[in-house]
Amino acid sequence: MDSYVVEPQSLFVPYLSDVLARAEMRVVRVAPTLDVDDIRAARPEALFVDTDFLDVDPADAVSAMRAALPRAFICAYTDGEGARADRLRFAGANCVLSKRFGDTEITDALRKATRTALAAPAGSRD
Amino acid sequence: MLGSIATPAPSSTKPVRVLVVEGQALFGKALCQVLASDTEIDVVGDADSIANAPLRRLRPDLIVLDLDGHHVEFSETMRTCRELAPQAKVCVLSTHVQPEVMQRCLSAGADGYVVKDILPAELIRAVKSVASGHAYVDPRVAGGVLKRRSNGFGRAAQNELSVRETEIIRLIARGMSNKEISAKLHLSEKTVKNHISRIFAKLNITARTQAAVHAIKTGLA
Repeated sequence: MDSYVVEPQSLFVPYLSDVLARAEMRVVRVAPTLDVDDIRAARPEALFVDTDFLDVDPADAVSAMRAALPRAFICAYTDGEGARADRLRFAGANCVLSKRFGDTEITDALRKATRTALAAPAGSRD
Repeated sequence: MLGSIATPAPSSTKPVRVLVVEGQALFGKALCQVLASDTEIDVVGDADSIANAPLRRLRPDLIVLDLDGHHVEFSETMRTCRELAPQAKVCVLSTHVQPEVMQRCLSAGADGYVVKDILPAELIRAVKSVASGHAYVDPRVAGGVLKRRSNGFGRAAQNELSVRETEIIRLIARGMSNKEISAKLHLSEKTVKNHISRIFAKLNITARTQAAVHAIKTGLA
């Protein structure tokens, strides 16, 4: 899947890209901040967003991404747990990954989530 | 981006022994990869917290310490570093660009303060600078400190929270009610309410959730 990454920590991007590649997510564009117009123009199949660095409320950001690309796979990467993670799911994230996860947990969770998302009937994620 | 206060000393033959303590597992590995790419740095280990880091055994020259993943007070973490690795310099890695967060870290004994969006080459420069005995702070944060000093001549700014207000906003961020806060701090509910009103006025906000967001964003919670 062609993937768009929102991640301001530039020194993290090469390592993250390698991990995502193991889950069949090919990073085609990296942006340091959320730019919905740029996301809409890039039309990626998947979005990976580090929600802890956004200037806006993370759930609002996910809602905006979902509105821009209703059928894209959205993965929110967060330090938050419990209610904070639930808010991201309710906002439209297909999966919420904890920053506590190691490489294997991340790739396993992404593979599982993408399989589930791709298997969902058309329109069920909108 | 040059933020070092002094140029690092010329390289010695012995590489700097660096321990990475980072709660975000993937980011920790990325840090190790970046640091290990420099021949003058020897990454001796990584851990998700100070509690899990074998400081005595590894004897690092420098600890790259994640500020954000701590569930204990930063000053307590620094005490552990000083006790178990007194020889080690500590370079804090943080998501926060607020000067007050950096000042808290430096007051607690940190030797360096870098923000996590730092470029790889600059991180290496920061690590070497701190290891050689110089202070290093992110230039954006240092600029904020200088601006505040020049505006206020060293006095606390009018909208700066007091120690008590900082305590209260932390507890708000933890979801505590006024009643719970008053019990915890041994204050009357009325006093707590007064403090909260002052917090709202200083931060120009109207709701507890906004206070909680402010506390999280500025590293108070």
